[in-house]
Amino acid sequence: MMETNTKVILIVSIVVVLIIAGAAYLLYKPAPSQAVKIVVAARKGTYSEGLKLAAKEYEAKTGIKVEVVEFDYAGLHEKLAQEVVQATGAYDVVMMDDPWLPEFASSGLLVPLDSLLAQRGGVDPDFIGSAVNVCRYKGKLYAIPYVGNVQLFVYNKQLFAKYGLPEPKTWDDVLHAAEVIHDKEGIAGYVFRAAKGNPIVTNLLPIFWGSGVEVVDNEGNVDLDTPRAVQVFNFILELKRYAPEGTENFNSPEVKAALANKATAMSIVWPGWVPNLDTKVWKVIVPPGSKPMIGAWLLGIPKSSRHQKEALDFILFVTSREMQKKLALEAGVPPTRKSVYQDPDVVAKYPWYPVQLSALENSKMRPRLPQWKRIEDTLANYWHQAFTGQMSPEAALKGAAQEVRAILKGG
Amino acid sequence: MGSERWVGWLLVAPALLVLAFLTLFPIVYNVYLSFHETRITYRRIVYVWRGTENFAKMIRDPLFAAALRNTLYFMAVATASEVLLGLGLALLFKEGFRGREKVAPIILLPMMLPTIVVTAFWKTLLHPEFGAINNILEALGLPPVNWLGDPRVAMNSIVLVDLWQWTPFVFVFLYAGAQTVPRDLEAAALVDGASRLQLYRHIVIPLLRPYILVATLLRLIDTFRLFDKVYALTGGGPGVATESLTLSVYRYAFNYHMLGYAAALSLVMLGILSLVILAYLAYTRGGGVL
Amino acid sequence: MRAGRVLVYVLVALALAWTLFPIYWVAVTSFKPNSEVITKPPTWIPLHPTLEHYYRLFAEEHFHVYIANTAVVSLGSTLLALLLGAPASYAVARSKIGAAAGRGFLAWNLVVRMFPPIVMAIPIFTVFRQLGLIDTRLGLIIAYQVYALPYTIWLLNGFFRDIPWELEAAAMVDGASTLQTFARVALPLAVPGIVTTVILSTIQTWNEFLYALIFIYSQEKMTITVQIAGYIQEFKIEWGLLASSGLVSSLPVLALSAAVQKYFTRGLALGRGVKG
Repeated sequence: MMETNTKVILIVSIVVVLIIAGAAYLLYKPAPSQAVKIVVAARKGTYSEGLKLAAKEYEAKTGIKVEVVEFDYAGLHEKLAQEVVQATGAYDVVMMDDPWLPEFASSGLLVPLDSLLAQRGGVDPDFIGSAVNVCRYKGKLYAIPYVGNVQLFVYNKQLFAKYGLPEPKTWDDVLHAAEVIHDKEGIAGYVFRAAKGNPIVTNLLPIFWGSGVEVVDNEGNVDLDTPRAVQVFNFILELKRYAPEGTENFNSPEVKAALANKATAMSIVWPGWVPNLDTKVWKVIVPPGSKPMIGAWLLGIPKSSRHQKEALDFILFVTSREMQKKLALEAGVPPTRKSVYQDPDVVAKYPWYPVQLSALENSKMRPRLPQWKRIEDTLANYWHQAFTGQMSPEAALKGAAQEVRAILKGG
Repeated sequence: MGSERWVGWLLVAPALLVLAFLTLFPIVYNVYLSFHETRITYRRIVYVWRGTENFAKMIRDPLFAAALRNTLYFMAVATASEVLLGLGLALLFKEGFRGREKVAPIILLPMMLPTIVVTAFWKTLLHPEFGAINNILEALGLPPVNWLGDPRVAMNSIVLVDLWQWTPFVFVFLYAGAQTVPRDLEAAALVDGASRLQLYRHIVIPLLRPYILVATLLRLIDTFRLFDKVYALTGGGPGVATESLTLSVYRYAFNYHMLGYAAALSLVMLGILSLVILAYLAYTRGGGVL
Repeated sequence: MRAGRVLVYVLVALALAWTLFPIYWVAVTSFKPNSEVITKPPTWIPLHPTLEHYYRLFAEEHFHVYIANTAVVSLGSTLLALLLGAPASYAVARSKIGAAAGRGFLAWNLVVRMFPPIVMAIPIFTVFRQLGLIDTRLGLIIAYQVYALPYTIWLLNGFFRDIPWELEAAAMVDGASTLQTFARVALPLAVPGIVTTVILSTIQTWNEFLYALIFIYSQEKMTITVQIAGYIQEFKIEWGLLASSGLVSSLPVLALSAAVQKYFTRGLALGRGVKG
């Protein structure tokens, strides 16, 4: 009896598998290519939703189909890194985090846009200067800024009023307020987005910058192992005492949840998270202590693309004034044009936009180094170990400095 | 006989060629690569001669050191616990109980599943706040554990997942071996007044020794390759607490495109595995295989 | 004695609970709406059971594409391994290339199976790059020979050795060439062994992750293991989809494993070189 049953299971599963395989092949046989299609490689999230919205409009307007393929942060970087060598032409438009630009520009992946744009009137001065700057490498333009991301800071103004705390202007203010609120209110005073990788680096850098430690600069000077830097890290560890349990593994979803639940009183935020915050409770300001970190997302064109002209048309469409306003209002995508930040309809919906604009105009970018991805990973490794108590700050910063110097030397 | 040989080689040739390409060539090429480093330019990878620089770098590389430490720890703890538990299960089944034939396939389920699926299951179970394991602990009044985020616990959580997945393998392997213990030997011992415990200790387990040794060797070889679980559960974190050898080679090769260094690491990995296996064979004087 | 028996049943029950609990939990999660997944205390039986995650898995995530890819790649690599390995293992089993060479060949296959797969990955990757085989299912099928070929050769060698020699000897006496004997006499007799080998090898490559991650990166060609890894990163607390994808991915392998249950121990033993 067992034999027959097993045979039946076997036959059924083989048949099922074959059916699925056949069906899938039939369904996904590449359609005979008629119209031009543009493929966009994007990072999954709010901004890719914006691209999809724009894609629909673009298709309605021009008949050109735009497909948005989504990846997570690390996956997108990996795909682009592969594309440098494979040059498959799979993507016509690539979305990039601004620190990646030096890497992909220097390795020759991206089409330089200066001459192409010159034919269309050059770079529109409506774009915010700092956003355009991160699209340049060694003076040449390689991308157009799509998302005007800049780090902002929110604090619970109700709680601050309750305890008579002033608006934080320095990180010492933050620490003091965190301590007070943690002790008196019983919630976390501050929350770190400290998951290993890109999150912990982008979250701790502003604290270093705010105390005058560059970490790494554009020329490759490293001041990561100075006594001042160690002081800063000890400060960070002290601030951690008022942070929620598990903060060392928090990524965007967890921080957003903490803010939504009012489980914390302060946090660094990216603009995309702000629309979901109750403005009666939270006030949006420029991060205390130093120039805010810009984290723009850019759109570029790989040299391997077979539809470069159409790609550029789409990019200019997405970043046009009308589209940026629409995406800001409907998808919550922070714009990169001054006029949109000052548009009355937009400001009515997002009252903190003037703050964001001034933050962008005064923003600071991460070092323009092609090896940034490796440097970021190295910093993340060491900082995360020190943050979770596996290493002392001195040892971690020393180790990190050593490795970063080696990477910059070409090792 | 001559033509027989000729035909024989003809039959073997295709497999031989493919194997040579897929297994011999890579080792040789790794050696070549390990003395170079790659520079990525558009459409081309350029190989630059670097001499023994990659090996020198490896000695000073803290990521590699952590990966080596973690992998060896994982190998030792996972293998030991899986063999012990698997042996226990095998003996339990040997004892016999009603419904044994129906229960056995269920016990084997975990090792049939794709590793990444096992990983996905445990990712949900080990979540510090919503995971079932912590919920159970809380229900029992115990404090929750930060399974994947606490650097002291993380690697052990990986061991736990591996245990769940692969103990059944050791179990079924040893159970098959246990079937070969001659019944009359057992019967004789029992008649002579041996207790069940003595029976196991002095007769069954010693007879199972070759199987236990082979199972141990197989688990050692498999745990050395740790990748899927750490890639998906922790990314090597927190910090570098769960970085594994394969993960670090993968990182250097495919995230940083340092193929030369990655090739050097691969060779060293192979060397370390060989040392472990040789040590094991020497220590167990043949390890049940020879 | 009584206490001893009770202990046995208690331990068996514990082993069952330990084994089944994660699977049960994930199965239940796959039928819970995401809002219910994060309720505390957790619900052991879904309060609002839903099929939305399964629907989403196929309608939105197109999971059937990934299943098809995995099926194509694992069956393809198994068949290729069979084509290459069956003649080879027959030749070795019947000492057609001499006893020493045969033993050496088998030994090499055994040694290769011990290598960590990442060791071969980088050189194969660089060569595939030159040949344009990166990001192709064919490339992955060839790369999978690293896993499938030695496994197939080893298993089939055992099965061929178990076939009584007399029938082949008779055929050769009647004037059949080696090739004819192989094709007309040995192969048909080895069919159960071949079926077992096919299933075991398919299971192995179906579950594989590292090479699938390295050699394929276009969304539409991905295998289910890489997809699920993506879901793990992506769905941090929305586990419904993760659970349903895990279960759906496991079903084919479980079915295949069930089919070879009784050969399993034998296959294991033969596969590992220990007569059992």
